[in-house]
Amino acid sequence: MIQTAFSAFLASLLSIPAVFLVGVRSKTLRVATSALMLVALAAGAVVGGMGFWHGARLAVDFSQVSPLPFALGLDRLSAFFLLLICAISVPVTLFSSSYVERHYQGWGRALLWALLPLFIGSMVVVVTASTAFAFLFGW
Amino acid sequence: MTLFSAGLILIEGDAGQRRHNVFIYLLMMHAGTAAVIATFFLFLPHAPGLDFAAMRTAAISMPPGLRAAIFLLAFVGFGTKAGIVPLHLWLPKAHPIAPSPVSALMSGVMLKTAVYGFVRIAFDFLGSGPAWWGYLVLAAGAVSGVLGVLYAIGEHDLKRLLAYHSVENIGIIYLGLGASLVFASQGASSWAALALVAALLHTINHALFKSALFLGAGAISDGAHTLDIEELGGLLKRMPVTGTAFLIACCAISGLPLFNGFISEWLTFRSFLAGGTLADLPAAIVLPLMAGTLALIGGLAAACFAKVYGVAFLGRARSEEAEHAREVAPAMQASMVVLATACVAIGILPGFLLRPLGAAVQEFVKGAVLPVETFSIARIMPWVALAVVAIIVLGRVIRGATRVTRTWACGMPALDSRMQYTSTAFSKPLRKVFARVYQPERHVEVVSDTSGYFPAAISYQSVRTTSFERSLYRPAVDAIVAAAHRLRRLQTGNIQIYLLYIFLALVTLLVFMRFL
Repeated sequence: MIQTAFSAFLASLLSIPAVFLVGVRSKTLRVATSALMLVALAAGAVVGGMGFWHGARLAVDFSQVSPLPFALGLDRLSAFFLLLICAISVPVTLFSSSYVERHYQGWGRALLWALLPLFIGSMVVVVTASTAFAFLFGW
Repeated sequence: MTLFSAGLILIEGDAGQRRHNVFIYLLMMHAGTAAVIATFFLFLPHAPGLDFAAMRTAAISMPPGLRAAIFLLAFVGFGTKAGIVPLHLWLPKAHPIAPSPVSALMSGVMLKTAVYGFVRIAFDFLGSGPAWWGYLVLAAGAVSGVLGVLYAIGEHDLKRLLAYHSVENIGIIYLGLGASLVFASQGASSWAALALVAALLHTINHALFKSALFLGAGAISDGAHTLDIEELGGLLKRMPVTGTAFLIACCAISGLPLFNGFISEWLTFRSFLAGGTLADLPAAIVLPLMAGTLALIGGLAAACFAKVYGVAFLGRARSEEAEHAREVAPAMQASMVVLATACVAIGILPGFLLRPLGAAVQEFVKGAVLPVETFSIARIMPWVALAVVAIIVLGRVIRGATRVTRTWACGMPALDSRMQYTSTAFSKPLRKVFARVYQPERHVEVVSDTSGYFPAAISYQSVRTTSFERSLYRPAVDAIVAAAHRLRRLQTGNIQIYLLYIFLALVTLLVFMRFL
């Protein structure tokens, strides 16, 4: 269960940028995607919270699809930082949904929305890495 | 992480100074990353797969020299990302130029990944080390904390000021980490666990109030179109929700009771004071002294935020933009309110974080039982909060009718915004006391009128380059440039000379391989 939630969270952080870049002109798509991003981040916070409060463990191994050992995992320390990243990112994304609309247009706006989930995702990889390669990849 | 954040900074364009700042950011991050990569590669002979479980086991049997090298590389590598002094140079340059939500993420979250990396290597993999590790981290924390807040006091650009406060708060986190390392080296595992819990709690606390403050700065730039606090004023009336959330975050960062910053700083204080009970004399002297340093940092931070809030949100508007400022969109308000509420919640009910943090710390500070002091604060805070609410309610009830009159303007017809205390004037006494730190270059130009008695115009300019730029980075850059100039003599442009170089390199390699 927690494994599926975490994988879905990572997958959505990776796929959201593409939607923003494709739907650069559509306001409805932007709103829907930023709402999806909020849901994904909230799911990430729940995963972090379960690891932090209940000591739930987690291990996801991508070594088959990666040239070097690439695995993510969760212990209490990682879970604490995952919770921190997601819990702060939720209000920041909510703030951005209004701030970015008012201050940026066109490709600047699309790029900002595309880079934001990637930036958050890379920080998540750093704190959940359980191999040095995964850590440095995120770093 | 580094590249995406640099990309996010560049979204607002890459003109002039901005490009230079991003260049410095990327340069320092690459240097830091090199140290981080080296940290991991030192594990390579002992744990070939470089997975964390193997690295943890390998670290136990490593020779002390190698452990020290890993620790120092991790300290420098993660310290560059975390922004400890003197590796902080990129931080006040990069954070202010990013879009506000990105600044909030960079300052609130990204710096914390460096803290995570350092805790993972120094505490989880290496376990405890000799006492000098702890003293090194304590020194870095103390210097970052004091200088960070002093530089912040001298700033009047809101985002630069907040960036310097990140240096200060990373200093406080490092003070806790250093104390934990010192306790662990002395075998006082309970206090080591408490200091580490305090540092981790301050990590999430700083993330909460700093992102609230950066989002507040974003709201101010959205509502009033400027971030120069000398141009603001009276915003609380025009932006009540932003003003209240910003006030809560200011109280939290200043370490006032009932807000989250107080809890983590109090726990750090508690662990420092417990240092006096250690048998080892240097530790028993240094740790309680650090409590004094933390008190100085807290006091200066409170002064700085009194300045920020007083000048920006209270009083009268100092410019046309501040006069016409309006409250921001509901989504922006909601996000600040959520963060401010979290600051108060942790400040009143810290127990729900302290217990699992204790469990997290016990995973790598083996056999540590958290001292009772950890949870006594969690028990007392709800009652303190209740008492404060009761006093406020009682005060409202027994207070009689209030009389509202105009403020006396010293005989002048009316008050105007130029009569107010400015940010520069407010921080002047502190800047005078700490003049050795600032070493400002002042330019005062007085243009006399025709009579020669009264000046027609006075211009005042104070330029402040941090002493690190002047005495550490500038000489290093000059030395590299001078060395590069000297090396240019090797580049003659003559192909025969280049062939000679290649031949010499080949011979050297052959000799090296033969006798290796």
